[in-house]
Amino acid sequence: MLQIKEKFKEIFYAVIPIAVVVLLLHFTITPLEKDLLIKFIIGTIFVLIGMPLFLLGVDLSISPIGEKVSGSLLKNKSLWPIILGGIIIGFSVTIAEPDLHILAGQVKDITLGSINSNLMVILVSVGVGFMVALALVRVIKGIRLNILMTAIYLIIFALALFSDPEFLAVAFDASGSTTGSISVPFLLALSAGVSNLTRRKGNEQTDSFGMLGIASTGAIIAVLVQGLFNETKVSGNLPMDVVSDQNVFKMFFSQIPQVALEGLLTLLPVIIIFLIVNVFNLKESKRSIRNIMVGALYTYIGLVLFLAGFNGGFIDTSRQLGYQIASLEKDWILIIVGIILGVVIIPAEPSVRVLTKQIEDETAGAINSKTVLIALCVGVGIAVGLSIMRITIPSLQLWHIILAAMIIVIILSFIVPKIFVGIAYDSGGVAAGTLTATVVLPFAHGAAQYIPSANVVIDGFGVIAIVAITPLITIEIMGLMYKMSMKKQQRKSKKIKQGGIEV
Amino acid sequence: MMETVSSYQNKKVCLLTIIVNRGKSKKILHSAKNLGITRANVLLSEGMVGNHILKILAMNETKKEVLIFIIREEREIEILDYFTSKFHFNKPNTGIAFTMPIITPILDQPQKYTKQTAYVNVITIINESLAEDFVDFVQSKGFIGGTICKARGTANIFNPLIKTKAQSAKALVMMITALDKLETLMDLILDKYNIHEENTGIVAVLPVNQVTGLPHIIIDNPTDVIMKGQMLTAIVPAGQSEEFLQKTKTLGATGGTILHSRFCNLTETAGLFSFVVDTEEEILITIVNEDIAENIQKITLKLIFENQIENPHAFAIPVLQAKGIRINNE
Repeated sequence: MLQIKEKFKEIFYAVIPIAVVVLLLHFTITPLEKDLLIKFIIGTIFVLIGMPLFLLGVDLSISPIGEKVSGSLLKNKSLWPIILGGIIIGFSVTIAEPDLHILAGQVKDITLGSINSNLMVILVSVGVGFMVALALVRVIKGIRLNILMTAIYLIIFALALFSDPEFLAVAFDASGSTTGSISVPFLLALSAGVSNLTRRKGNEQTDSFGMLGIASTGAIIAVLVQGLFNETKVSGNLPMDVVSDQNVFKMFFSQIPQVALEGLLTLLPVIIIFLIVNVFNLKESKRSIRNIMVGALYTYIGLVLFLAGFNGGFIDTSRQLGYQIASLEKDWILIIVGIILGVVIIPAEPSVRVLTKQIEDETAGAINSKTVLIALCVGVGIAVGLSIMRITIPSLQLWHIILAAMIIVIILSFIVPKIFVGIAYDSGGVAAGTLTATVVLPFAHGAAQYIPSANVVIDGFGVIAIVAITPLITIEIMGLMYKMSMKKQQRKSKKIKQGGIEV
Repeated sequence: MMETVSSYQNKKVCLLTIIVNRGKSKKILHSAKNLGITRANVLLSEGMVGNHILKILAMNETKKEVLIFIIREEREIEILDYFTSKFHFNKPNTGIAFTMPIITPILDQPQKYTKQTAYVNVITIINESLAEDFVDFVQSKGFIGGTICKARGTANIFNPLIKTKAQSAKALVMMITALDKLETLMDLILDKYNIHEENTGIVAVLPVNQVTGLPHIIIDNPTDVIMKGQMLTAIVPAGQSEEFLQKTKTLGATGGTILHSRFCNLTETAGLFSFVVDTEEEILITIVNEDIAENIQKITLKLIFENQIENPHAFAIPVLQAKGIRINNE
């Protein structure tokens, strides 16, 4: 079957469950306003058209660019140009990430201006840049990921000790915001390319996963360090969105120019990197350059369409759902709906699609993409459930959840097979993507708006953080199950010891 | 230990290859299980559709899967017919299946000849970045098909960065071609990609016993043809290819190509808390000239059994023509 046809089919089955859940809720416990419902349906249609195009474009352009860039980086004879290249790449893809700018703006507001938002964006981008370089060096030198990540986590622990617990939420949210729909496929391909070109005797198997995980810790460290030098008491308030009385269609379409600009800004760094590398290093065939450019166009159109769909159609609907369900004053319904939303959004998350495809390619399908998807769904379902519980139970603090999760992640990373450690660390930033921002976050905001003990601002921060850390555990548990199943199989085959050929 | 080796000797076997759209392998593996086949290797691959409009839109790429089974020669027709009728391979765009002869590894008499066949499998190993261009080019000259499998090359290229010899990204392209068109195809490939020069690529022509999904051609009076070499194939657990290569290199081979696959154990069933795990396996192929083939083959087998690798597989496929193999001067 043609790629594009398959992608349309795939996305259809991924997005429809979300629509079904929303419609079911509409017809049962939380009837939505007609305007909202229309916006949601238009949004869904935009997503259904945009996402397949985007994914095809990524296959044709962003991933090949990542691979080609890794190829030209590795032509260097020493590590320094590679480190410099890594820093530039990490910096430029992060600074263009719109989610990061939104987060920085919010941080400035809630800290009453004591945190400089522009400085924060720059620091986070530099942090990610250094971590991308570190991740490249790790793959080239064959340093084990679990040891490196444990060391990085210890640094984060140490910094967290000196930070305000509420500010911690901001730092972890930043880690989820830095890995967007363009940087995820680009960094994954870059890492895979470097890993494939440095395979050698004694280090033959793929070691390509883990770069996203390492890169996103750069954001956490950068924000925590900036916090150390500033007043970080979370005390301000966020200006609430003003809902205008415009016509639904006008409201939906008026946001498109903004989305189109943001999309262009995120895509531009990758294209510029490609053009620079192309001038200096590569002798590409006309056909492949043409395909990359066509692919970039698909990526752009797809990105704008699905971002417009999610932003325009999903945010208000989810907020309204959260508010209305909270107003039923039955906490358990709120938590269950949260879990269901967490589960159904994951298959529709573009970055998740990119990661599962990469996993399948790198392991020749030995690690099934569906299994990874299930583990991620369970992880994010639990994460959203925990986020809602945190709103309803005031004594449950964010750092309780994060600390416990980080300790489990570290311990498991020394038990499960190497490749699952990499996949796990990558999955965090991937799970906390566009859909977390446009469905889970507004849902939590809506619920917090109704619940008297909750604070929209404080409880809002930290949702992305939880979504970005729980999937690590479920992926590692899946790795553990793989390991045990494999051992069982090996024992069995040893008993039979079939030699040679059967049939 | 030699008992296991003897199991190769007593049975005449052949290699069954099925190429289908990505995602269809599950059903095929299930059928294979019903046929009593116990193991399979699955490779991920890509194909290109010849449609001109799709090509302009850069949408002509399709994802494929290549399934490899080793079956007994006496069941060859039965198994092929079963798959053909069940998955309608004789209709267009459903997939193709074909078998290739296997030289039984340790024979008392070295095999020199192989049967003439109506179709051949032309294998081209080139740099990965060239693979899609390659298929585009060949298709533009009127040939159909072309399946690209990602591979890694292991020729001795020193990488100054990691201060050791690193593997390189290659691709293996398979094209099933009728015998009468072979010469045109070979000329096209050799010319365009300068295969005669060193380090540009390898082209090898392998015989195809039976094929479905392509027009049936019968050769009158098939004669035996002389083998020009062998394609030694060892299927080993992921990460162990280099070890085997080192040994074959000492015997005169210059390099090898590693294909990444997953091994599907068809004897397993999922339990309540466990699932059937497909493991990663590497298919290591080394194309060698006839004069050194036999020695390498023996050594490869010996190595596999000395290392006591689970479910080892090593076999050789006759090569009718080979271009671009370097001669080891070391």
